[in-house]
Amino acid sequence: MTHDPVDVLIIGAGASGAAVAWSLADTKMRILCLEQGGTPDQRTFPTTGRDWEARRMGDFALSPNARGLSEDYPINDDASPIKVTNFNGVGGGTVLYAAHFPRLHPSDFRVHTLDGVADDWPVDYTMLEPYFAENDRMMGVSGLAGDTAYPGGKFPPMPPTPMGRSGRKLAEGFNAKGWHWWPCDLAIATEDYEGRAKCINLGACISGCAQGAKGSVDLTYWPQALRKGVELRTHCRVRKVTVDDDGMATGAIYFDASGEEKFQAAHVVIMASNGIGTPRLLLNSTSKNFPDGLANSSGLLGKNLMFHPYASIQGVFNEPLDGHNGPHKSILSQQFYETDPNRGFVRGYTFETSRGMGPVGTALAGMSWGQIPWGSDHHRSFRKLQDKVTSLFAICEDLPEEHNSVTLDPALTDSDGIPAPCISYSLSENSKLMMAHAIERGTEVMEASGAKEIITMSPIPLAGWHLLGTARMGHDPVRSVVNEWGRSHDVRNLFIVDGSIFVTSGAANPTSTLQALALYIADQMKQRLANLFD
Amino acid sequence: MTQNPFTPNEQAVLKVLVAYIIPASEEFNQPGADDPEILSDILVSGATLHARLDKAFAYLSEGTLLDAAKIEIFRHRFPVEAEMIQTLTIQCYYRDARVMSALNIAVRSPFPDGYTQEKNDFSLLEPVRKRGEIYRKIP
Repeated sequence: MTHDPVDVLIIGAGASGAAVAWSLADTKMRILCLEQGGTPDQRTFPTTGRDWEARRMGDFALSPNARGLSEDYPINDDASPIKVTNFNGVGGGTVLYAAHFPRLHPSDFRVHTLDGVADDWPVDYTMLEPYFAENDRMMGVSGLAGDTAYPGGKFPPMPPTPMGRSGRKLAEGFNAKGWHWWPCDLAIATEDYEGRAKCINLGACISGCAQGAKGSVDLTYWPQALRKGVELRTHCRVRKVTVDDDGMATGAIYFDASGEEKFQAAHVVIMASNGIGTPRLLLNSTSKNFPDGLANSSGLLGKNLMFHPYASIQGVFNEPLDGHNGPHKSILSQQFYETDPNRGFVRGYTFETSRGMGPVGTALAGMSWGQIPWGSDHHRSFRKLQDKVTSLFAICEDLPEEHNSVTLDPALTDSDGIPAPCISYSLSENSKLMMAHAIERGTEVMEASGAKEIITMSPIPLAGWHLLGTARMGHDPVRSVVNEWGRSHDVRNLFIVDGSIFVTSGAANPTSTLQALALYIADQMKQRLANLFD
Repeated sequence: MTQNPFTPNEQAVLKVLVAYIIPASEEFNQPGADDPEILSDILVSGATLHARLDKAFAYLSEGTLLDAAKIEIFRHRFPVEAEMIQTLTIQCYYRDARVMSALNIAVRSPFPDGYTQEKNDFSLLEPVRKRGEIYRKIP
C-alpha cells in the first residue's frame, strides 16, 4: 500500500526528531514522522505503584534486550563492555533519561585544534548558542545562571531542583577540595510550566515521570508540533529508505501496527533514530547504487561509535541522606573537563551526582557489594545502607575510533524480520586512564564529604545512554557522512539530525547539544528551501 | 491475573530458600520472605522466571534436606539462578506494607503525593564564584 507523498518524512520521534519536526512545521510543509513505538501514558508509569522498583527491571528496563517489548529491537552488544540503553516510542530516550541537560563546551567543537586529537566540528558553540537557548525554553530547563564552567549567556528559565542533603554533602566535599561544582541544569520543571506540573520529587526520573514534570519530548515538542500540523504515525517501523536511479531518496518502506508493509513517499527524508538506529536503518537500505548502505560512500556509516564510559563512586555515610526522594541529579563538577597534559590523558570528564536509591535498589546494591548477606544479618546490614548512600558518576569523553562500530547482525532480527544491530566496542587506553583518574578524584571528594565507605566501579556496564558518532558531520565527504548542516554527502535529500552526527562526544550528557543541533539544521534547511538539493 | 506456575514441590523449595535469604526478625519486627503474603507475591511475580529455573529446582529438590550448606553450594554452582531468585525476593519483600512500615517508608506509591525536599542553600557556591571562570577559551 502506498500513501500520498509528504514533503518531509522524519524517522524517529525522539529528542531530535521532535525538535526538527516542530521547527520545520513553520514552513507549512506536509511533515510526517514514523515512530516504531507508541505514545507513553504517564498514568501507567512505574511510580504509580509500590512495585516501581521492580518494574524498572521489567517493562521499564533501560536495556531493550531486557524489556523485549514488541516495539523494541534487539541489539547484539555481547562484544561491548558497555551495553546499550534506549526507549523506543514517542519521546525516545527522553522518556527514560535523567534529564541532565548540560551543554557541550566551546572547546568540544575544536578538539583537533586544541588537543591534536580526533577532528574539529564544522559548527561551533557560538553558532549553536541561540538554539541552546531556544531548546532550554522548549524543554523547560531548571538551573542556576552563572556557572563558571561555561561562557556567560546561559539563563535556565526555572530555578534549580533541590540539592537535598546528598547534594549538599557532596558540594561541601568539592568545596573542601577547592574544586568546581554547580547545580545541574535539568529538563525538569520546578514550577508549573507550559502545561507541565512541577516536580514533586518522585525520585524515579529514569523510569518515566508520572507527574509529567520531566521534559520528555512527548510532553514538550510533540504537542506543539502536532498543533502546527505535523502528522505522527506510531507503531510504524521503517525497514528501508528507498532511492531512485538518480540517487535521491524517495521515501521509506515500513511495517504498520498490523504488520502490513507499506510505502511512504517523501521529497525529503530525515533520520532521527539515534546513533544505533540510524546506521542500522541506513545499512539495511542497500540498493544497486548503494550496495554498502545508504549514505556510506565514506565507509564511515556505523563507525566511530562513542558512548561516554561512566565511572561510579558510591559513598556510604553515617547519617541519613535523601534516599531516592528527588531528581537523580543535583549538582555537577566540571573541574576536570578540559585537557591537562599532567594527567596522562587528553580531554576530560564531568562529575554528576546521583542522589540515592529506594529500598530494592539499596538491598540489591548492598548485596552486590558484599555488604548485605543472605541470612539473619540481612536486616541490620540493610539499615546501615538505607538512605545513607549517594554517588558520583564520571561521564568520560569518548574519542572516536573507527573500530568501535555498529554493523548488522548476520542472524539476529527484530519481530518484523529486520536485521538487528551488532555493536563492537572496546575502551581506549585514554578512556581507561581517564576513568582511573575520575575514581581517584571522586574518592577524594567522597572522603572530604564524610563518606565512611566508598565503593567504585568502572565502566558501569549498563550505561550506554549516549549513542554518538556513527554518521559524523564534516566538510569532507571522505571523512564524514553528512555535511555541516546535516545533509548526506551522497544523497542530497537525506538528512541526519540525531546523535549519530556528533564528531566527538564531549564529556557531557548530549541531549541539549543534539537538540540544539537539530534546531540548527532545521533552520539551515528553512533558509535553503529554494535550493535545498543543490 | 498471572497464574503461579510453580509446582507444590517447587513452592516448598522456594519457601525454604527465600526464608534463608531474608529470615524473619523479632528484633526489627519484620516478617521473613517466606511470610505467606510475601511468598504469594514471589510466586506470582516469578512466573516469567519459572522456565529459567528448571535446573535450579532440580538441584535443590535432590534428596530431602535443603539446609544452609546445600543452599550455599547452590549459590556457588548456580550463580545466575541464585541472583534471579535473590532479585525477585528483594523486589517483593520491600514492597510489603509491614516491611515498609518497619523501615519508616511511607506505605504508598511515590506518585501522586511525591516527597518534600529541603530548600537550596546557594551560599555554598561562594568559593566557586570567587575562583571565577574555569572554562577553556577558544583562540
